[in-house]
Amino acid sequence: MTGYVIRRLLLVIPVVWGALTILFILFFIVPGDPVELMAGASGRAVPDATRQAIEQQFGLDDPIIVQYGNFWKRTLTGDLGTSYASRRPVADILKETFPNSLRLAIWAIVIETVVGISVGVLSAIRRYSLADNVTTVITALAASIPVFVLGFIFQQVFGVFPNEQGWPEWARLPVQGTPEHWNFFLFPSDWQYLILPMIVLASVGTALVARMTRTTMLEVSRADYMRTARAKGVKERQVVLRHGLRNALIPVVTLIGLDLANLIGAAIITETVFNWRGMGRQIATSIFRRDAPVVLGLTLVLVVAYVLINLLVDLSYGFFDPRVRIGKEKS
Amino acid sequence: MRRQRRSFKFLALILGLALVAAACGGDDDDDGQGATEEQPSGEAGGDLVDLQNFAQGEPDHIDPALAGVLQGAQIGALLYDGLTEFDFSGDEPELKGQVAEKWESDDGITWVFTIKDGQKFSDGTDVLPSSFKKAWDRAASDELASEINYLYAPIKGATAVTEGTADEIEGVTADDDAMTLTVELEYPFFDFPAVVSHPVFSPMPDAAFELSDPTQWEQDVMVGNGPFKQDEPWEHEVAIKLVRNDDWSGGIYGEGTKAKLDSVDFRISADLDSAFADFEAGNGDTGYIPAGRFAEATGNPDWGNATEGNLGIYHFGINTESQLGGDENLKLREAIAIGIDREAINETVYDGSRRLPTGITPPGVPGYEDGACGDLCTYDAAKAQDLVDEWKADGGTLDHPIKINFNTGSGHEEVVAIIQQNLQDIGLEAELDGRDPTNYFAEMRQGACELCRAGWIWDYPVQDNALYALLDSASIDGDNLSRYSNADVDDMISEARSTEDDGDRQQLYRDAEAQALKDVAYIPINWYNGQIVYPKDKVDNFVQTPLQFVLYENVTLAS
Repeated sequence: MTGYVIRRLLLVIPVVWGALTILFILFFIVPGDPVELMAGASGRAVPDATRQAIEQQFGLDDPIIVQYGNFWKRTLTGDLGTSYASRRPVADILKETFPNSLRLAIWAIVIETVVGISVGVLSAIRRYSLADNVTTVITALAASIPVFVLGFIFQQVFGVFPNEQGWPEWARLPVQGTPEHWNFFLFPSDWQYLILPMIVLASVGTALVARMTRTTMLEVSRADYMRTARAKGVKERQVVLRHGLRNALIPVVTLIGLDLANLIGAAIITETVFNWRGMGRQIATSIFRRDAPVVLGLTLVLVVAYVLINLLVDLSYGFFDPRVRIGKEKS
Repeated sequence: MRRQRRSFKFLALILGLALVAAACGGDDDDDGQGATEEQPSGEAGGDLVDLQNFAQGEPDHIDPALAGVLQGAQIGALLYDGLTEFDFSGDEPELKGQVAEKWESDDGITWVFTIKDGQKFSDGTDVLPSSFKKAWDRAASDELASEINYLYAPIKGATAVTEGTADEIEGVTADDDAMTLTVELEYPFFDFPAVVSHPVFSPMPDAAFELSDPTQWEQDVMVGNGPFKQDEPWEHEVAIKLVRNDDWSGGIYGEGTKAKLDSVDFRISADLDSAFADFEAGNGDTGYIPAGRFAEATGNPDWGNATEGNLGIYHFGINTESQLGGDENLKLREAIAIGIDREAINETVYDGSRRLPTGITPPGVPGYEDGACGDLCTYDAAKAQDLVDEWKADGGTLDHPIKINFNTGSGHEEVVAIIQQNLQDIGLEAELDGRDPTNYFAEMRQGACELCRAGWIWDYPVQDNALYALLDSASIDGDNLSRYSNADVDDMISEARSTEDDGDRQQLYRDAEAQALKDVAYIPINWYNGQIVYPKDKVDNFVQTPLQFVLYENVTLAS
């Protein structure tokens, strides 16, 4: 088991190297000159002297190989570089964005897990009932309504409309913003800012988790051991949850785990609509500006997070299914 | 059995903690988002929450030496007072001395600015001529590598500083005893006093020069001499908070004037529509009107608006070296100019929020006169058709359909579609050439322009700013996308620069502009307007200058 974990952790190295090298190359292939985009605000021509000064500052006039070498040299010593656009250390930007993305992703996952699995189990138990059909429709809606549409609707319903009607403070939710004071990392004092983004971000994932749980539960319910358990006289609730759900959860856990890894970096739209100071939005903006240090630095963290979360997901299988012993090779 | 219970217990624990935390969370913290304004009394006082300036995202820089984008420069304009400043409150914009008491030059090359006595930065240090000299050395330096250091180009020796071959700008001399700042230019330029009204020429306190990395000045509290000051540093992507500077010397309003507001909280939003929804939800005092909602927003009876003209133009350039150029195709170009339905574009694409142009230079720039375009900016499809027919009769032909170039994903799709239709209506084949926005201008500069989308936002209200960049042959491969080269126009511009009399100088620029428009190298489409709204019963004296700066020092919050 330990050997397995160590081997998986070592895999981080080639994955990070590969991802960043590809990204690095992309910055050179894709059209768009960061100096242009910085200095040429409103399409203004950049005079040579200005261009020279900026290029020298950032080593942009060096050949690719030299820039590549410099990039790794500083990254391996822990220096994530400086943003071309704002001249701020990438590490500062990371410190401001990563925790917020992580928090929002975790809360979205909590909703996905709790609501998604519960709804899925309920649908499976009461197959073809009214409840099942209603949830089918709602999950289809949640999965198909674009995230920004959902976001705008919520903003109007919970923010603008109440103001126009003159409702009291407690009946409204903020339209945009990131909480500033967090307790125990996950619990904001100004929690109203968390509600709408969390729900919007979780919408698609919850629908998927619910559908998948329902499907796998139905599959599992046909298994022999379920029949045996009932025949043994085990209470229905135990049959469903302990025997059924436990086995049905493996694919669902994979889904949720991958979604967590995904949500940290890919919540661009939710973060933009709700002005949530997160990584997805930061990376997207930086890509438009061809701000390579920011993109590379933040992606590095995302890749590592992704690999680690995947590892945790794999390790969790042993918890759900004792037959799966991670790392033990057949002798 | 135990394992299953564990998973449920874990979930229950999480939910329980969430409930407990929510209960303990209590009231909204009033520092930051969603703050409710205190009750201001009378004219002075009040804390304004601004959602319009940074509605479209965070600026890269607010240091006036670095801020190339207007929204960032707005902060610089509130924190710093420069040598001169334009007063737009009268009928005509008037250049007034701010930190400078007076200025003079005999030949337009050497300028002597006399600095007022007793001016101070908010940290108590004096504003001296050397405050300007050192600030300018810093702004032009290769160390700072500012995106806007090209604005120093008229000053002798500034380019050397940008290239890194000099540490000080040769042409600038500061005499702190006589309180004079002497500036020597590369060429005679009588509009220079207007040029230094730009925030990039702001003075800096000694604290700014003590930093080892000059780019980090804006990351902490910046000390300035303007109507507002910072009490806390820039909170990235969240807000920039300014408070009234009680030590302000009054700028162009006179000794003793102070800003009315206690503070301005510039909230930074990520998305324009969300920022406006936030304004509509009552969480802010100003809003920036999103595209397509102009008529609705300006028609709202509860809102006042700042939608006066701005110094910005949206136009198309015709590449004089392309198939559309040359004297033999003049009628064709005139037909294109007259055949474009600018009103339809304004109504359809901009919801009526722009102004129809009568030339390149808009009102608000001293020297503006109506009608520079002649008839060429007025839509007349019949006349355009006649011109096309005449041109064809004279033997005019096109090698290929007219290419309409534009940058994609930036809101121009509808405009070019209308233009394409307009051209087709008068018998001209046209095709759309959309390009990647990150590369668009670079490609156009290299000559890919045929009928290309362009624009200009004035750095300072001086005709030269746009006309030199767009019309002069020295700007080919630069901002002169039309590759327009007319020796007469070049001469007029260079003569204008060295003409001392304001009236004569402005006339020369007007003549240059008229000639370029007659040659149809440029097709103005519309002039920009402001797009700000605010609640009428709360906010008053809200004025946006044509330079798109809001005079927050005059804004009041009613009780």
